[in-house]
Amino acid sequence: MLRGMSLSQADELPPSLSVAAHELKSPITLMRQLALVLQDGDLSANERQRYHHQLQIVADQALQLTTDLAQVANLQPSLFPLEPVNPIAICQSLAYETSAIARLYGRNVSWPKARRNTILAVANPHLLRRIVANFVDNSLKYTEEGVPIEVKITQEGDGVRVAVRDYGPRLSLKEYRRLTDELVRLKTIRTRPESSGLGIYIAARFAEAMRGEIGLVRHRDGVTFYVDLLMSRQTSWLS
Amino acid sequence: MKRALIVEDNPIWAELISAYCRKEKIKTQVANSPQAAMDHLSGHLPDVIVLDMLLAAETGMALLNELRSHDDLSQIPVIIFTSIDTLDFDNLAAYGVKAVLNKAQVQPEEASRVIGEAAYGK
Repeated sequence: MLRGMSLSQADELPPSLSVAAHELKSPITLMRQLALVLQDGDLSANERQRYHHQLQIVADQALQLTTDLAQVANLQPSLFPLEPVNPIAICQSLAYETSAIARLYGRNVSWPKARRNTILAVANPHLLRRIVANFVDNSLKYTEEGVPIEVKITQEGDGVRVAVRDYGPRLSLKEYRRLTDELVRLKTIRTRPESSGLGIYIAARFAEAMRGEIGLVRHRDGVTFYVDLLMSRQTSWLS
Repeated sequence: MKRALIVEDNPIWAELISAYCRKEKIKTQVANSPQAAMDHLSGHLPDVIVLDMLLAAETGMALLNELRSHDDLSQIPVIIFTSIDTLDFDNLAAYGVKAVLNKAQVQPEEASRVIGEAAYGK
């Protein structure tokens, strides 16, 4: 797919301010509406509690996006040092964190389970975490309710691949070619026709900061996004 | 009881719009894509369709085009519920769109009223 194409050689075109503004506008608009609804004196205690919970989820999403954007703008190696990282541990904590939003979207995300022979990746734990979170977020938004989303970790030669497979709308060949082109050139990456692709762009930049790269596989019934990282020679019991 | 089909891929927005409909005593069904909406419409004709324009798989425009191509579906009033600031209402009116509500500006009471007026044919 994208193997052999170095993102470090890419013609880096950052997403426009309008793309970032649009992505931020969406949760802020929803927070405003939830705040207005919460002023309704006729709400039941249950409704009030549910709207509060939703407000918190949306606020967390908006805050995370602004944090991601700030970090993309300042990806200095000293701020995000690389170390041996257990991707399964990252996934297990993300499984807990994303459970509320997955429930909200009616999706079932399956996460890799702990195993005896853990593969370690050369990564920054925070950046890897945000890459996987952005992949999962993308899948939550672009799949139908009830369909599974799978997170997998595999050894690929001398590297480690963390992949998120969804069963969303099939990508047309034209969309697929555009997407791979955008990935290679690190442009704003629109993962589906109506996506701004900011999350995948952020993931691509974070992967690059870890000397890795992201890519995608087109399936008949969905898409896999993955990040390839160098494998650490550190033994797993040190992780 | 009047019925509304809400075409919205964000579950929180879908829940909020359902609540606005309930205030007007309108029963709701949610479809999270134009395809799901068309599947629903093959068996049920709602009194109003509330449509988000930026959907995951296809745009709301795809559904408007589909609706316009069917005799019965083209008669259903459509309320656009969107965060796009630059929609041309005059152009959309030809697709049966009765009103455009801006998510960034609309008040809940206004949303209920506009959806209610379209459903009850006021």
